[in-house]
Amino acid sequence: MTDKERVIVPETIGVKRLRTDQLQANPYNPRTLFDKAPLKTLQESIRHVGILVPLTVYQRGADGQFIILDGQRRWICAQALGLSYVPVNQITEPNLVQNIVTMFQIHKLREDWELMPTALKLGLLMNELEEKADRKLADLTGLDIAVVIRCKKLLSYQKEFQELMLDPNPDNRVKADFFIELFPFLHDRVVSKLSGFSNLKLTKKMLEKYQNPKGGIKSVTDFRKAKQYVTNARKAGVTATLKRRLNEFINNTELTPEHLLIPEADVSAQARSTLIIISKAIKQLNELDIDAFVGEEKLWTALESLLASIRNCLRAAGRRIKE
Amino acid sequence: MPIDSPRVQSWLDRFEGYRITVTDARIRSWISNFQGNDSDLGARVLDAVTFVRYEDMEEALQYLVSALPGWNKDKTQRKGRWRFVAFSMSAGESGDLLLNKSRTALGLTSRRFDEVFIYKADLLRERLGPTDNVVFIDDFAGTGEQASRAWPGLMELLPENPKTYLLLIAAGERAIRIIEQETKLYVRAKQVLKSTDDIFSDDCRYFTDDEKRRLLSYCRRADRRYPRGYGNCGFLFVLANKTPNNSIPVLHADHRRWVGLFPRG
Repeated sequence: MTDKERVIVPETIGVKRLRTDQLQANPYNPRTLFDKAPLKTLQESIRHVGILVPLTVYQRGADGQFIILDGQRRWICAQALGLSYVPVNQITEPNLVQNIVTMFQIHKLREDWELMPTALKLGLLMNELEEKADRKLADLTGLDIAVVIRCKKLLSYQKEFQELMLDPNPDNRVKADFFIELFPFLHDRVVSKLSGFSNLKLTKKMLEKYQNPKGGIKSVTDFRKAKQYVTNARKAGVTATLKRRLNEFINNTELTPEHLLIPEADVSAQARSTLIIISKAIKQLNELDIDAFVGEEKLWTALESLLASIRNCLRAAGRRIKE
Repeated sequence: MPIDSPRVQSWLDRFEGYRITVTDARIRSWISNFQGNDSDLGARVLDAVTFVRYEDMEEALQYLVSALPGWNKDKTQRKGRWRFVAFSMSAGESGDLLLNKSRTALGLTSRRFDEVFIYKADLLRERLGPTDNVVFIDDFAGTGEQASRAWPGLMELLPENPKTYLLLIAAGERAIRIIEQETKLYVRAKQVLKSTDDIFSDDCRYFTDDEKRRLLSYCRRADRRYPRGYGNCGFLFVLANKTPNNSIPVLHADHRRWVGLFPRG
């Protein structure tokens, strides 16, 4: 075992049986909600054959409680079935890094609306390990690299905005998506250097535009439009007009991203023609008789290349790529 | 009892400081929601409203914090580490503001108390253990649903199992029971609203059965979905910063069919 592995893997003590009520859920577990249907299936299985795979637990030194590192669903089912004892594999108490890494690896996914607690755990891990590289963090936690990047974006916001994502009241809570979508606009080279607007002030103004029923930001994806218009205006060299419009857009709650669309920088015609080409290609591909073309090597190579280009485009645009 | 100037003035005095100023004209406009002789019923509703001013909230917080076992302003006298955190924000307030208000209310504005007042986002990093204490501060709990639902998320931020308190200016008796049953929060509320505070319950003797029936029909006009207030709480309770949605809707609903005196929005 390498030194690095030793840091992130707790040691095994042994298998035994513990009373069900002696166990406690792991608060580092990023997964707090469990779907009822799969739980019911698992419960039926446990009812018939018992718990086949022991739960992984450790005893917390501070208060002697047994904490579940892996097997929370089995434990929930055991409780529901009234089982007095469950088989456990006890390991040594993990340190902070071991605990968080293990939890991340067991539960790789969570919904974006509750991404902030995951981001905070990732932040803690980054500090403890002094590791900032996206790829390394993704490997370490088992999180998708895109999730790591989203978490890091959330961590870049001031505490008062992080607080908004953690509000217990759903009416007050602001979804992580808002801050993730806002990020590229906020960090645009023209927007970020706009005089008179700190990052904090800009974020507050955008939040106001989003939360006010009459505000110009109706959906979090509106920031994509805003960012596109700003980028295109910068590329078209109309920076002075852009800065004036940005000031107006930020200060006037009701102005929509369309206010940032400067005619000289409008790419909508090009987008429309590209869309027509793509639609035709999709239609043609859907109608393709695969067997009739299976030997057309150049066609398949081109399609592979097209797929790679599509992935690159989507990734660069910050879109989520579903496998 | 007539709805005369002294009576209106007594309401104006009592409701002074609500986030949307209560004026003579707004009171009269609100009373006009009630038809004919029922204006007296509306007036009696206002007579029975419990209104909590900002200064009352500050006093309540001071009282609640001073009663926490192990807390002391003097760091050397405290048992374990103590952290105060805003639980949820009120309308138009940031978590920052609520936290600062609490600090002022508790007389802990000096810089030496900076470490005591933290954000929820700081909790994980603080790594508070079983001998430490986290005090969440909020204004009101009507049903306890919100705190119970939020608990798994909060627990994630407190993995080392510190003692957790929820301080509330006021709370429904049922809410306290539910929160303490379903979370590890010890609830401390300055004012506990009981079944007698639910104006539609049999325990409430302030209104007759006939008045309750008539009032309920007005409540339905104000809010068809929650005519007895959210969670069927039936409270007549207003906080200067916001009316809880557990209070009856004739107080806070505000739309074209009903003029609200204490709008929440």
